[in-house]
Parts: sequence; C-alpha cells; structure tokens
Amino acid sequence: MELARRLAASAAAMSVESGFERLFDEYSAAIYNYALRMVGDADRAADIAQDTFIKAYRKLDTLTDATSTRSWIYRIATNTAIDEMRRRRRVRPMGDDAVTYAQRPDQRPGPEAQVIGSMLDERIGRALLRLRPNHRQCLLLSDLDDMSSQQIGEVMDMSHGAVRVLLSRARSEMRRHLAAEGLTR
Amino acid sequence: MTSRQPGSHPDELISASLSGDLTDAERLELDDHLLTCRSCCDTLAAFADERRLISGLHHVPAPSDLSARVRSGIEAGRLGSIPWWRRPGGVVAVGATLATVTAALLAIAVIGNLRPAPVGHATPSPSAYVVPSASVAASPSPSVEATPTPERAIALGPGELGYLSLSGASLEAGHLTFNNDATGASLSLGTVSGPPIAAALSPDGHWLAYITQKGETGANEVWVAHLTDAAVVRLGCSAEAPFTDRLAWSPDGSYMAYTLVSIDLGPTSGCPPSVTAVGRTDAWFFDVGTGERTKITGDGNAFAASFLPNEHLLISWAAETPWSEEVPLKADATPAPINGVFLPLISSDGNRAMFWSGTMASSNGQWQFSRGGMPQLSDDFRSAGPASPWIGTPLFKDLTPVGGEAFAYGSFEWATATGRIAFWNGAWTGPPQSADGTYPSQQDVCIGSSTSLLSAPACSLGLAGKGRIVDVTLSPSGDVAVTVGLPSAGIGDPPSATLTVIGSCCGGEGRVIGSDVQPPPWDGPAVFGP
Repeated sequence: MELARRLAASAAAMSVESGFERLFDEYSAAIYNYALRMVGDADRAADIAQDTFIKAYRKLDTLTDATSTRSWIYRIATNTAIDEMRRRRRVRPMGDDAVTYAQRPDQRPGPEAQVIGSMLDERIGRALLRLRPNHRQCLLLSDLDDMSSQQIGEVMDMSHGAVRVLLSRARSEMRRHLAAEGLTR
Repeated sequence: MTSRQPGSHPDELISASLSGDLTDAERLELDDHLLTCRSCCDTLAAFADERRLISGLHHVPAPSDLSARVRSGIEAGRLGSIPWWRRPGGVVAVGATLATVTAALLAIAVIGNLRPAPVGHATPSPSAYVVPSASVAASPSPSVEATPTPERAIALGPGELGYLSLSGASLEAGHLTFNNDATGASLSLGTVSGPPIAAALSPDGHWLAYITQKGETGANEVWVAHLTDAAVVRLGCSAEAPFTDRLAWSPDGSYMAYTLVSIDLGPTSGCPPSVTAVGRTDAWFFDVGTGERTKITGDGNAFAASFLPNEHLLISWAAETPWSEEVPLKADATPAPINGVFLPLISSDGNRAMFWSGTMASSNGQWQFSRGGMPQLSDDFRSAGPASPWIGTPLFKDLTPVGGEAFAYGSFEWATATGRIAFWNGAWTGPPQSADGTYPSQQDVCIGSSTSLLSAPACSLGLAGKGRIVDVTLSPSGDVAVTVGLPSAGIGDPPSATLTVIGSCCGGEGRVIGSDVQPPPWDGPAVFGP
C-alpha cells in the first residue's frame, strides 16, 4: 500500500514536470522578450522571466482553462515586472529607465544590417521606456505579442472597453516619443 | 460602438482598427470618417508605423541558463530569501512540495493543450509530397547565375520602398537592379532577358524573390537574390499562366514557395528541358538554409498558395471544383482537402484569407475559372462557429455572376498592418455591371478593406487607360504601389513601366518613382521593408 502511494505520487510529480516543461518551452522566449521590452535591461528581464516561471510552477493549480493559459502566464509576468520596477524604485532609485537602456552598449557582432537593426531596436526601446508602465504593458501585449483587447483585458484585469481607451492613449503617447526619435511622422 | 463628441477625432477606433477590434458598424464609421479627415489619416498611418516598428523588434534569445535557473529555483525553494538585487543566477524560489505537485496535477490536462489550434483546417501532408529532387531534375545546389562578385549589401528599413528597375537598349538583355527609394542605394542583380513582373521580400528582408519575363517566348523565369551579398539564383522557367505569379515566403523566412508550368524552350534557352510533359503545373519551394529547390507536387495541376502562421504551406489544386491542402514541408502527416478553395492568401495575422471559388477548366495547359469565378474573403478563423470559415463572402459587394460569367482570373493582396486589401488584373468575362459600362475592368486597381470590401467606387485610382496593370503592392500602412506597363513605342523598343505610389487614404496624390529618367526604364514591382 505504501509502495503504491509512493508510485502514484511519483507518477503525479512526473506529469507535473512534463507539463511544466511544455509550458516553459512554449512561453519562456516570449516572456523573456516581453520582460526585456518592459524594463529595457537583459539581466533584469532574465530575473523577471525566472521569477515568472517559478511563480507559475507554484500556481499551476490555478490554471483551469486551456484557452486562458497565455493570458495566465502573461498576467504573472506582468505582475512580476511591475513588482520588480516598484522594488527597484524603492530600494535603489535608478533615474530614467530610458537612460539606462541607452547607456547599455550593444555587444552583438554582425553584418551591417544587424547593426542597423540593433540601432533601430534601441531607439524603439528608448521610446517604449518613456511610456507610462501601464501604457507600455498594453502596447507591448498588443503589438509585440499580438493580443486582442479581450486578451489584454484578461492579463491586465481590465474590461475590453477600458483596454481600447488605454491602448489609444498609449499609441498617442508612443507616437510622440517615436517622433522624437525621428521614427514616425 | 463608441460615442464621440461631434467634431472630435476617433483615435480609439483608429487604434482598435489595427488589431481588428472593431465591430462592423465601427469599421464603417471609421472608413467614412477617414474619407474626409486628413488628420485621422495621418494618425492611422502613424499608429500603423508604430505597430509595425514594435512588432518588428528583433527577437532576443532567452539566456541559455534560464531553464536551469528556474529549475534550480524550484528545487531550492528559497524565492525571496535573497535580496532581489543580489540574487545569483542559480538560486531563488520555492519548494515544490508534494502538496503543490498534487494540486498542480489538475492543471496538466490544461497544459497538454497549450498550443493554439492551427488556423483553418489542420491537415498536414504525407512526405510523398516531397518528390526527391533528383527524380524531377531539381538541382540540389542551384547555380549562381549572375553577379559572382559580392557587392555592397542593400537593406530596406521598416516600411521603406524598394523596387526593381530594368534598363537596357533595344533587343538586348536588360540590366536589373534593386533600389532603395529612401536612400538611393542600388544593387545590381545582373542581366535578364525581360522585365520583372512580380516580387516578394522575405520577412527578414535579406532575400528578394522575383519573376521576370523571358523575352518574347511566353515564358517567365523565377529568381531569388540574397540582398546581403548580391548572389542571384535562378529557380526555374515557367510558361506564363494565370495564378503563377505568387511568391510565398514562410513566416520565418526559411522557405519560398512558387509555381512552375513546365515548358521546353530548347537547349540554348538557358532553361533546363522539362522532364515532364509540357504544360504541367506544380508547386516548388526554395530552402534558404540549404539552397535547395524541391518540387513538392507531381500532379500537374498544383499551385503554391501561401503559408500559414504555423509554417505549413497551403497548396491548391486546379480542377472543375478546385481544392487546397495544408502541407508541412518537412514532416509526415495526412492531408485533408479544403474543397472549393483555390489559391488562398493568408493575412499577416493569420486570421483570415482571401481565396478564389468557382468552376475551373484548363485550356492549353492554363487553368482559369470558366464559371462563377469570384474572389472571396474567409470568415475570421478565430471566431468561426460550426460552419467552415472557408464559406467566404464575395470580395465584391456589387458584382453578380450572370449565367456563370464572372472573373477568369485576377490577383489580390493584403496590407500587413491594416485590413486594407487590393484586387487587380481581374479578367471579367461577363457584361459590364456599371451604368457607364466601364466596371469591372482589367485596368482597375480596387482598394478596400476586409470590412468595407470592394465595389465600383473602390476601383477608381485613375490608372485606367495608362497601360497594363503589372503588379500592385500594399505597404504595411496601406500605401499602394502600382506598376503599370506602358504601351510599346515601336517594334523592338525596350519595355517600359512606371511605378506609382499612392497614399493610403483621402485620395492622396500619386508619386511616380524615377519619373525624371529618360528614356523611361521599367520600374517595378515594388516591395516594402519589413
């Protein structure tokens, strides 16, 4: 009886491991990139992605609907990123995130096109970091992760209508920042 | 629908239109407003630019040790025990107790279904589709046909216009270049024996696929050029035929699918002799990674259509009742037909498709619609109910096939960041359906959206009568680049074409690319930077 209980527990643990590995494989790259664009720093993004998946592992039992998996993991990532940004301000004021981003040298080698692409990414990244955090979140979820207003609402715990208004304001704000970078009309 | 103050600008609708979040009523309201409001046209263009820039941000690989850090954190069970700013890579996190594990087990069935359902019909195909290249005389390593010396790379920034340009004296091979309209940079693509008629840029902007006519032979040549080193590869020769000018890049840029109609031009033509009967139409693909080209079908009536977001290729078979199938290029699977759907073109978000329906017939090896040929717009694949999303809505709101007479063929195109669509070169076989007897016309370029669809007023760009519409390309924000082949000035004169770019809304005036060059070269087709 004891052996049977142990075997059942072992099988359950293996299933969890397998399921979590699939979750990680499916979303780790996207969550890392989302975090990277949220905070503009590779090390901080890695920490956020790491904490996101550790929290996800703990909260697997709250995931009840396959269709909401994406919203669920992004909600955890969003909250983790917000917490990280709050802590950072409280514990060690860093000034403007955009300055931090701009000061980071781009070490990636590569041909001319890649260099041009990196410079473009950096200018877009600077503009993103000048947005208010909630504007940045919904803009990234919409344009980087291609979520609908409905899905963004699930991530940010907002109504569909509120997301549309927020997204419109975010686009207007981003338009100004991109224009300042010489990137849009 | 949103309520707006009179005279205010519908920024919220403009923003929502970019992600397809408008109701039909809102779409109509916005379309009507854009017709008269220059400011909102500018806002739409700026928002579309912005969405394109953000979605085009380079994907940065996650740190290679992220998995180990997460695993270590879960096993160590110490999340929060170390200050966040001093947390080493491999430490952190929470214990995975048996209780946690047991509770989480309930979620496993959910995680097992993580991957979203494929768009449309998920019908993979058998490996038998991939005919070994040796058996169909496909050269495993296509030869570099031109420009052996690497030249300076050319790149297009986001939304920048690039175009092919052919110049040369009468009755001689022309010199083909690829040009960046914004920077003036130009890249030689060597000599060709006829003008370019189609072009498609790979999603990463590194490769350009294009089709040129082969003199007066009635044949075309399909090429691909690597824009970073100017290497040019000829992918094959094909008889000119409707529906064979589609150059389909896979979303990740690994493959480019195209269609060849077998033709025998003789041993000195530069085209390898066909090993199958002349007039057979089959789908091929070029593998960027290996440089190999592969014949996918051997049926003689198959056309490369477009790729789905899951990198599977849609191939269409021409027949009295045509059909399409979803084919993974490098895997085994069992296909299932999508009946009645021909040459679907998937939107960049993967949510909808334009395609052809009707009855087809073959004449002299060329397939076209013989009855009821109409372009259709699919339902949204995300919201389709029990009915198939492939039960389409006719793209034209005001055309009705009478006695089965409709389009024999035509071409359509999506803009990537907006719902804008274009239709051109429509060969209408029935009587005109407008009061003035001019609509529909093969000289029309019709511009609309996936919600407003197309009608006579959408087909009045003012290009009718100027020449033959060769190609239409939509920029990500919906600008229209039209290549118009000009009537020949005399026997033996080199071909000429103008490339005109027309603004995306408010009837913006057209800008002719290279208009000051004399004699007029052949400019176009155009592509836009990703």
